[in-house]
Amino acid sequence: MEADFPDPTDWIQTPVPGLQALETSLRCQVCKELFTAPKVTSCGHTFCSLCIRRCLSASSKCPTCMKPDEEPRLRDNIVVSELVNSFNTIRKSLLDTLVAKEEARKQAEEEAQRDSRTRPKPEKRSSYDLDDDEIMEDAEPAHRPQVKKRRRQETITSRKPQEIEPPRRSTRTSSQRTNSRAGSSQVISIPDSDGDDDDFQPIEDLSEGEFRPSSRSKRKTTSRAPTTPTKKSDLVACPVCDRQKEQLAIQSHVNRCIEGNRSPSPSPGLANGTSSTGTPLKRQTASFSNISKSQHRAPYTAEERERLRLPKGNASLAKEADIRKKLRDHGIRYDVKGKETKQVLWTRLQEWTNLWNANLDSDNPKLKHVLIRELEAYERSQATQKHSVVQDKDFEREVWGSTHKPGFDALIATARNSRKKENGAETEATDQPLDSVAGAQAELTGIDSPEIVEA
Amino acid sequence: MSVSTSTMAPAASSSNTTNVTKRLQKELMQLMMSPSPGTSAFPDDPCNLLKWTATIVGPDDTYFAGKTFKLSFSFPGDYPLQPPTVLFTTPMFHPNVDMAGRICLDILKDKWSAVYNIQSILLSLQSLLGEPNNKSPLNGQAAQLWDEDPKEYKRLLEKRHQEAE
Repeated sequence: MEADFPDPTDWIQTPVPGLQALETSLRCQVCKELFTAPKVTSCGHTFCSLCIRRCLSASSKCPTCMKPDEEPRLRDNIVVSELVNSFNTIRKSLLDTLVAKEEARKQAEEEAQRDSRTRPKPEKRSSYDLDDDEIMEDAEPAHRPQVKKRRRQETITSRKPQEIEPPRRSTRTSSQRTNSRAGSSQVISIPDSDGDDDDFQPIEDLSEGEFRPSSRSKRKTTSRAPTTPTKKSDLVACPVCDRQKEQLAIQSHVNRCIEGNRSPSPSPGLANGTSSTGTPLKRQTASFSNISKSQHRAPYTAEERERLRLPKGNASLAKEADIRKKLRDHGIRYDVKGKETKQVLWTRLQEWTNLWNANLDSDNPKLKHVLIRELEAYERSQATQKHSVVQDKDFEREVWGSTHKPGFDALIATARNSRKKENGAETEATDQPLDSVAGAQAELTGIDSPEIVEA
Repeated sequence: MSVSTSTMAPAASSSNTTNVTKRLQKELMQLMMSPSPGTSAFPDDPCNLLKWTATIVGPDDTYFAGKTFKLSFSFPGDYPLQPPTVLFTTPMFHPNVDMAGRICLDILKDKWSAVYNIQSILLSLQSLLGEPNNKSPLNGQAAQLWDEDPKEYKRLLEKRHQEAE
């Protein structure tokens, strides 16, 4: 179970339970996974790119502090991204090491008790304390991560022989220091945790070996450029297409946007999306083997991301025909006969925009057809939850019904009374109004009946 | 670095139904490994993580002290973007819980946030037991007795609670 669902609680049984807190802060509070393309909100909270985009589409608030926020204000959290990546690389070996260490310790303790020899136990215990304390109280905070990492790696090498004979551990810390260089270089070459992930990596490295690292570093430097205060503060989101424009140019841009509503935004992104991925929709089914080999492309550069970014749009401004056209342009399925409501189409376009924009932020962007498949899967999963929406509505209606029921009853009673009275006077003339009263009554009881049954 | 990011890719590319399941699995793990006192929760069926049964113990110094209450959780397909539907399955007598066990709590409706989880719901419910919102009661009688007639409240609560056994 642990292997399938890595979780911060894995660290509880290790000698360093504090790692639980470390891992918890490296996980997104929405999906509880390690951050994927972390984004920081204007209030300073970090989420996965896709998670925060979905949250903001549902309600324009930060999920943590409920402060209003919007997508164009999201920024890359580069340090967190690096932290997650390096943590993820060492996680399994670190956990294995610590668990083995703990097991060895317990075993040694048991043995010590059995032998009723007290010597190894306190010795070993002190070596742990020393080890952990050193990590916590490292004097130079700037070097801390490196020191920590190196020490962890040392423990891997030093563990292997010592696993068999735990009592020798008391001397470990000193021996570590002497051959630390050799130890660390030795360990880096043990990729035991990532066996299943190497599948497509080499392929990409083969094809664009030099490009990957350079594009990554380029992205990091360039993506910081827009965050510089002078430039970004002048930018305003266009109310029509949601793109960031300079304040001075916004008026003319809005005018252009309103005139040719759809022309400026989606087409360039789309054209580039398909051409850069190299798999136009038509070819996808034919060359399946090609696709399965490389489902990812190199990370987007900052310029590419800005250019390809899809605008969020506005539900009330968007016309149904436009939504259909956009979906068609992106190669997303929709009901041609027009059986789907505007709401359904709009939700689909929103989810597509979220997936697409989050994918631009990814270190390992997926190809377009993979995204489309994800969109379809997401919609399927949504279909299963419809009942809960209905329940919510029912709930409101029931409360409303039960509070107003006395009123309805009174109305019905007066209607009946007046009917009796009028019945005696003139039967023919009252036929019409009576029918309507009866109809209303039926309607009322129709609405009321579920509440009566359930309450 | 590139290797580590690729571990996330297969997970993200799988169907989103499993995204809900995965998050719930994480929550289950959290609840098992570090439960908060007086609360517990577990899926009804290991194959379907969308339905859970939870229990909370009434906090001390309240009418509910020492009593255990069962709840049912039902998670929508887009959890955690939408809140779960939470019902008291143990008969309840509380200003913000109606006779069918439905709960009036802001974080289960409009104040829901994707960072909340089962544990935070259970803790909120526990504190709701001690501090009801009498301004918008679902159970008017309970709201009235809560302030005016603690004895009668206690009697009716006991009566309701005994229906459970």
